[in-house]
Amino acid sequence: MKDNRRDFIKKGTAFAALTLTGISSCKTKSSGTENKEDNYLKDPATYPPKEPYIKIALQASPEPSESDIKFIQQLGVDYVVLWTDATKSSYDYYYSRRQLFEAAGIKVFGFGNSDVHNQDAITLNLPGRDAKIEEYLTHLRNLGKAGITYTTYAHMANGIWSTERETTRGGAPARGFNLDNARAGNWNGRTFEGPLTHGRKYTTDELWANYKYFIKKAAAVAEEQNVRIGIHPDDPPVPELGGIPRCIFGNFDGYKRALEIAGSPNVGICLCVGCWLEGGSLMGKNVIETIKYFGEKKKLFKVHFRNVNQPLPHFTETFLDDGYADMFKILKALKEVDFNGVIIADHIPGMIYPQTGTAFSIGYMKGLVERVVAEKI
Amino acid sequence: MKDNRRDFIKKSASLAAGISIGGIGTSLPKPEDQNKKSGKAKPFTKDAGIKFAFLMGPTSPKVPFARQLGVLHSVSGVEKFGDLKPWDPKAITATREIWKKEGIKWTVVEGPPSLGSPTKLGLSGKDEEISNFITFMKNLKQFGDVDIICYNWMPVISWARTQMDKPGRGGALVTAFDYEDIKNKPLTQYGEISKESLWKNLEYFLKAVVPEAEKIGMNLSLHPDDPQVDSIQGISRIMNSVQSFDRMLDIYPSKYNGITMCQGNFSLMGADIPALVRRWGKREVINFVHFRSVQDLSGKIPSAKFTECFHDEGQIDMYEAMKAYYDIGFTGPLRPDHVPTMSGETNERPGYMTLGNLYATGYIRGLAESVAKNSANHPS
Repeated sequence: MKDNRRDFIKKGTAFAALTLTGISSCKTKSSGTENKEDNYLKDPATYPPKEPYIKIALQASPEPSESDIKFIQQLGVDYVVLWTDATKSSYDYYYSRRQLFEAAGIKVFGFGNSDVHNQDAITLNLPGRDAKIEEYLTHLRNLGKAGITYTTYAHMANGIWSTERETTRGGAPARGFNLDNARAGNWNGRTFEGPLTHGRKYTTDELWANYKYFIKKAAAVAEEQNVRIGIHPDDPPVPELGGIPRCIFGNFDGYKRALEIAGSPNVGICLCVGCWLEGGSLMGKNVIETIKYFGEKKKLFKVHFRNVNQPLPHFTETFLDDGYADMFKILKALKEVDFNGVIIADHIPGMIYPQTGTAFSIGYMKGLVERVVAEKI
Repeated sequence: MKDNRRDFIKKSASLAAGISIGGIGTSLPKPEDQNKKSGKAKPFTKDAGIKFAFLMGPTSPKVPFARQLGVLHSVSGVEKFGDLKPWDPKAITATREIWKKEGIKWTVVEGPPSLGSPTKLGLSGKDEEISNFITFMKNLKQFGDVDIICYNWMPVISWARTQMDKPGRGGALVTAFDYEDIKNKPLTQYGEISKESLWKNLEYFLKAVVPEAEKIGMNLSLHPDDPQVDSIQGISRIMNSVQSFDRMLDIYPSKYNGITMCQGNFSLMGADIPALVRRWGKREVINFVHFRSVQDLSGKIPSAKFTECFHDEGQIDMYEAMKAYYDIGFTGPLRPDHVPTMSGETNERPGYMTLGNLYATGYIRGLAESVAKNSANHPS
């Protein structure tokens, strides 16, 4: 066997030495192919699927190496979502990123700024709130000017809470959360220690008032700039963490009310399937029902495709195909509501090096999407 | 945070009570949903009931990935232990133990020992080779718990490509073949080898080996010629058409005289893969699958000029192929094959690097899941 393999390679290499150039690319469909058996090639009328359809995007570095760009192209992915922070948040930067990716045939679906995302000043009305909101509005204006029409926003006051790393299939390290051991949340280099992350318990009324104050301003600018804001669920959606209720983006009714308050076609949902699964019955409606309800209202802008082993109070993130949710049914539900935004792979368990988990996840998503799109439901 | 759990439970209880509009639950398929559907629907099985496998040795860098992806079958040879012959029970037992320790089942031997030029060309020494091959089969089954052998009938020159680094999608490196590039290469030391002699030797081999395979339950699985051209350097190729395979099957009709369904080669012969899978599935002769796609570049079938490509961009309708395996009840091993070398990888083993295999595995699993769930949801 081993010898065989070496022989293969030797022979292949010998032939390679004789190679002429100029063979056309794999994408070229040969025309006039003579074939005796029917339907031997894919039907060009249905493949590849035409837009609008469920698009797959990669979360990419805004400063990709040439190798990063090639990797995205090789995966056959046409969209990216990017993140930066205040140090680089400007029209020039956003526009230059768009140019960079578009030159490689890749579209920038959305751009986030971690310094105006999950801001306790906004969520809890702390000193500096108005300046922070103004910074957010500037972010929206820069996006609008740069022609980038989507941004993800999250509203957690004390960050994303995780506990010790756990392992999933094959010993791959994965994020875990166990309520019994929950000590602190993290966002953007800041740590929020419990039991009271901000000195006292906050009421749901306060949080709703602060949200309303923010979203009214944000929605007005978003509409003016033709930018859509997709709001990400609180992660994890425990009803209260560190003294702060997660009442707005921690369950279905919260979302419903929040979007009604915003009252804007430009404010919708970045539906993190993972968070929704973490919440389980706490969410009030399951993922499919949520997709149907908000999808029909055209409120789903982007979907984070991920899976967990079980709902709160203790969950571990898993490979997409290995959690408790049926990702195929979730995609079917997205198709049923004519979702035409992007789905991204997120929180992929650690494989030996980062590209490996991405390659598997994107392949899996493509396999599902290809059929869900082609399937007549 | 000590009170958290109590708070949590209290809140979740009140929340659940407050929101009683029904439909609370998860998107997990409920067993009763599936039981309601009767008809031909099969219950959902992971990977459509197929054994996902990788071509890899026990020290391959693919092994830890395989465990993480739940690809729990290996296609691998007998490990080398000093002077032990590969059919020695000690070598086979030790190989099996090595795989067991890795948490992966050794399932297929591809490219078996003691099946070389003497047997395929009908030279002296063929009977000794065949005798050792039979010993290998018996010991592999008994001591290795492996019951599939994938072999080919390409003497002297095995699989061949004329380019090992053709830029594919996004500059990924793929292998390609163009007969024009090698048509003027000289004959090998064996001179002209006729189709008749290859058929004669294959028949001799099958008649000697298949009865033994039947006795022990060893699934012999003949791989098509790759490339499936008429001849290379004077050496004819015979396993290069669907008709040839039908002829081969008729030489000794038996479940143990079977086929490796290498989709790429059969597609380049002009076969409609899903239809062929269904036809041979009825005969129960598909023992092993190389799940790959290709792209013909010549516009003529059978193709003498083609390229490898990513699994999702070639000429084969991969979903229909997967559906065909599912419908015929195929539960044997399936592996991706000839994957592009991707960004950041060296091209030291063209077609067999890691990232392309992981991408392919994700894609194949997505297809398998779609097929199995569509069937479970929509009995036809």
